[in-house]
Amino acid sequence: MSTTEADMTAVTRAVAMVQQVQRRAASTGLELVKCRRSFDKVQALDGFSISVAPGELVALLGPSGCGKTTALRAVAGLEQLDEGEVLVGGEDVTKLPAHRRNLGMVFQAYSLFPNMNALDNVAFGLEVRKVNAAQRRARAGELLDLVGLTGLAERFPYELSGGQQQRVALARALCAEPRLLLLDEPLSALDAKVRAQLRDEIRRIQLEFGITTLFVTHDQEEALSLSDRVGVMRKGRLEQLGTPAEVYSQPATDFVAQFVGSVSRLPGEIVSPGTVAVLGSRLAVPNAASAELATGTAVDVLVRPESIRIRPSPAGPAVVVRASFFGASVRVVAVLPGGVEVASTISAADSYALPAGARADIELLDEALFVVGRQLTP
Amino acid sequence: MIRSRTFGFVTLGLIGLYVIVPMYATVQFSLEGGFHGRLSFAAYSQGLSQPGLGSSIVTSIEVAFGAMALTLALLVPTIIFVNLRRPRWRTVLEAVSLLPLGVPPIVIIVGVLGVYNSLPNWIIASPVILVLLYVVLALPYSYRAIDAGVRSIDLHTLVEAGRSMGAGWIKLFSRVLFPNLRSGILAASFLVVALSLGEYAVASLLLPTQPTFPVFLASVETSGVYLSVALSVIALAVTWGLLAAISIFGSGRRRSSAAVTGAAAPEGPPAGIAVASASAEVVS
Repeated sequence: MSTTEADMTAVTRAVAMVQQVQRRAASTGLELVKCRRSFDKVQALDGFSISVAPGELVALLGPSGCGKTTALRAVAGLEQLDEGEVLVGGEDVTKLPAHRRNLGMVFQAYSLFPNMNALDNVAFGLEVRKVNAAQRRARAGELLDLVGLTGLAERFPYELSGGQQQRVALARALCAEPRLLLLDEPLSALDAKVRAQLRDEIRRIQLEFGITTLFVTHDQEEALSLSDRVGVMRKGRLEQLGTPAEVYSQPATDFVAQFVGSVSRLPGEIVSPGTVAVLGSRLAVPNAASAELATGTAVDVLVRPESIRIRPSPAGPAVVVRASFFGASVRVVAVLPGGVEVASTISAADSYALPAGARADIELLDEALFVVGRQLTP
Repeated sequence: MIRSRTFGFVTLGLIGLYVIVPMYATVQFSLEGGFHGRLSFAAYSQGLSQPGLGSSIVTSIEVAFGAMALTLALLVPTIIFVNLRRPRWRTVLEAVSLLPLGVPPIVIIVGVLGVYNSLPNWIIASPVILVLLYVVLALPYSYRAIDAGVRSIDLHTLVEAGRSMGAGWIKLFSRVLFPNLRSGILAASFLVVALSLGEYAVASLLLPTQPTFPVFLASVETSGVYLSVALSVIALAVTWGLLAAISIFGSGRRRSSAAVTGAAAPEGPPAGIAVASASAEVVS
């Protein structure tokens, strides 16, 4: 590539970035304030609050029943809150019915209208808004091109694969230029390869439109790879809201540390305020709440697999019990005396020296992820 | 593959014979007209010239379509509402819908006369009373047909998808729910129309002054066996004609909808054809 071409490419990228920033600035933010919703005796949302900046993609991540879908449905107007407010672009839409909120939503279940072909499905939002037929067909055609379904406009839902149906659903959600895009586990019914492709497509399109997006998932890989920020939920509350790196590396709670990624839970002891001894190493206590624990307190130290080194050693204290192959890396699980399991991620090449039953040394490479006081059983 | 296809043809043939042979025998008998081997339309001519035939057919059609319209107006929104918002009520609704099967028609009539006695004449002395009652009598069948249609689609998701895209209830019903519930709605319509066209006991007791077609048929039965069989064949033809019209109306709307988008509609027979056949048999 010549210098001139390189310059042009750089200029094109810069223009695209500026346009993206402009689109973000023009889009609408979202705020949920102290939302409460209960179903019979189950408290689905328990004072849940979150703020999503214009143009931002926030993923709500949590186990089943944590309230993430209820929160999304409350934004969509499909669920009425017992208490709290939903603000879209500063406007209180809490009491507004779903069909007056101008939001686009993609559902977990295939939700295309079976009686309409792909084009009519995509154009439905414009039909509702009484846009003339020629304009809505043209717009729906553009959206289908955008989601990579050129030439499939006349197909009915039963003639499309699951991935194609969700692409049509995405195009349909975006067609009427909604204020927000709401994604309710749209990839969970798809096979792994299609899911990965569509995940990237969703992010590309979201950035292209600069549309504020709330994405609900129980798949942490999806949440971490797709979003600007991740909100981890538990029992109707927000445990932590942060960038994927923050949530992964600096968990705010014991639950977040264990739910996002995997950890080994190792027994340790506070040897001085802010310092913990574990597996013969002395580490700084990363979380403020545990930094004040008194010397001698028994604690659990949570450590990521990539922070643990495992090496073959005939006299080592650990015994390898299993290994899981992930292509370039292998997760080796070993058991220490006392039955404590330690997981370490190592390269596939290194794993050959550590078959099941091999003895090994364990070494901590990095600081602890989280330290929590061990609960004494009564 | 060949064996299963042969089995299919044989089964279809047997069912065809089961339906066609009695009908053929009926038509042939009506054409014999007592002329010892010579076929004649004399019984049909006599039947069509009977005074009161036209008005009884019109009354029957009015009642049938009135009952159909009222059934759909009452049941479709109710069943959609119950499935969407009050799923626990389904058990109660199902049980209530079965009541007309458990109560003998004569008991219903006596009850109706007692309860409706205070209503104005334009209800109790007109076909309106039959419309009201046929809606109840057809409930066990019409409820199930519509409920099966509603349960065959993902109602929650379709409604929520439509609502999230800005559709109000009217738009949602006309563009999303009705087209996808068409087969259930058509099946319920066939059943109500067929039951209404063929019902005799209630009509003869509640509205003797304005006979429906079955009541008229019973009244001319004494005039001759060939005449009554010819009129039965006419009844069958009228019923088939009406049910075919409903079916064509339903599938016609589907075709025109597809034509707007320039696409071919999904393949398959027009909804409710099988039900139409069965219903015609009920009437005959």
